[in-house]
This record gives sequence, C-alpha cells and structure tokens, in this order.
Amino acid sequence: MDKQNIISAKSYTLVFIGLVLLTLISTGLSSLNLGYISTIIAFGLAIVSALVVLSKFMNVKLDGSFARLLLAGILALALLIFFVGFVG
Amino acid sequence: MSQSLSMAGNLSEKKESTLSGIWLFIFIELLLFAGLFLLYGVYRYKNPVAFDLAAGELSITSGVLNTIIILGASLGMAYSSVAIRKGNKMATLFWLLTTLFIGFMFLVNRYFEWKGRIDFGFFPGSEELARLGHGDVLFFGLYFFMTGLHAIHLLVGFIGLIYVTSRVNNNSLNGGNYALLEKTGSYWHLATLIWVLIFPLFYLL
Repeated sequence: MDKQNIISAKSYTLVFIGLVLLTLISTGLSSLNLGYISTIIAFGLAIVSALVVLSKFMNVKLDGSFARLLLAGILALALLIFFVGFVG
Repeated sequence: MSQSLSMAGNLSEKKESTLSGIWLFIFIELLLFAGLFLLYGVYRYKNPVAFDLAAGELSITSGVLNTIIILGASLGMAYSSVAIRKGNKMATLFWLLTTLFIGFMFLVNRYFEWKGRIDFGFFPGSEELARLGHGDVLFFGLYFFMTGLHAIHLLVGFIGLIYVTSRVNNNSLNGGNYALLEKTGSYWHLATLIWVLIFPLFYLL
C-alpha cells in the first residue's frame, strides 16, 4: 500500500484545529468594522479555509490539472463577488 | 489498490485518466453554488444598506457554532477513513456514527436558527419582510434558499453515510475495499467546503 497517501489521524486533528482557528479569527476581525478591508479579510480567510478542506479533507492534489481548473474557478468567482461587493 | 487510491482524489498526472464521476459531480455542485454566490453579490451591490442591516438580524454565535460543528463532522469522517484503511471495523463504525450524530447536531442548530428568524417574522412572503422592503426580501430569500439547499445536501450525505455504515457493518466494505467510503467522504467534505464559503456571506459581512 502506498503509505504516502495516508494522512494520519493526528494530522487531521491539527487540520481541524487550524480550520476552527481560521473561523474564529475571521469572526473576530469582522467585528472590527474596517470597511471594505473587512470584506477582503472575510473572503480571503474563507477561501483559505476552503482550500484547506479541498487539499486535506478531500485529498485533492492542488498541483493536478483538474484541481487547477477548480482553483481557477473558485478564485474567479471570489474576485467577481469581491468586485461586485466592493464597488457597492 | 492503486485504482481505489486514485478514486480518493489523488489526481496526479499519470492517474488523471481514472478521474472518477464523483469529482465531476462535485465540480457541478460547486458551479450550482457559484451561481448563487454571484446572485448574492449582485443583489448585495444593488441593496447594500438593506443587506447590511438584514445581516445584523442573524446570530453570529449560531453561525460560528455551526461552522465548528460541521468542521467536527468532517473530522469524524476523516477519522473513519483512517480507521478503515487500518482495517479497524469497530473504529470505522464508531466514527461513521459519530459523524452522523455531529451532522445531525448541525441540522438541529439550523432548525433553531430558522425558527428564531421565522418567529421574528423574517421568512419569504411574510408581512414583516414586505414592510421592510425589497432588499430584506432578497436577503432572507437567499438566506433561506442557500442554507436550505446546503441542509438538503447534508440530508443526502446522511443517506450516503447510513448506506456506507451498513456496508461496513456487513463487511462488504473493509480495509481492502473502501473506495465507496472515500467517495461518500468526499461528498460529505463538499458540504463542509460549501458551508465555509456560505458562512461569511450571511454572518460576517
């Protein structure tokens, strides 16, 4: 069996803790009322969390061409929402 | 074995041809929500003040709690996939059932959150919303639709997980044949992925 593909239970725990921290940090920062920077921070951290879920939990290799397509799609969408929201 | 590993999402160059249907499905699911995110962006642009005020009606605590709950459900799912690779049936069953329980907690929290909004009169078609104006109607319409669609995804994940649990229980899924558990897991994590993206839209902005 290819051991390299198996992520240990311990590292999953660390990923979980990291994601919870990201959530708490973005919630904390959103209460600061930094104007449009709040939007950037909230979306930026959400995208980081989403990428962590993709790469760690869903085990998508972020260097594969399919994953790249997915990534490009998510980024394009995030930019679209950001610009629409930001201009408003 | 190499095939089941590649189905688990190992999309490195040489295994690309074994791209399994679940990934196409997940991609389409993301596109579906992408459309809704775009809709949200456009409506927010057109009604910035109403969206800002309406978002204040939602409980951030409840949103954060649900985020942590669903991350925990993903962790349970990951533990069960570690357990089945080690061929540990009891641990696999334990973590699958734990995952189902945590997922259920998410829906319980969702129920109370919705009930709170509905008790205040914030639901699509209510008089209270009609009085507040177009922007609030749009915000709560999107809120109920997107969180509702997400909840439906969790319910479908429940059905998948219950099926996987029964297959693990009767030994037709085991340490040498766990592709189905991995695929169901990918779908389950997809619900987490979507929630992580929905969360800031309604609770943080």
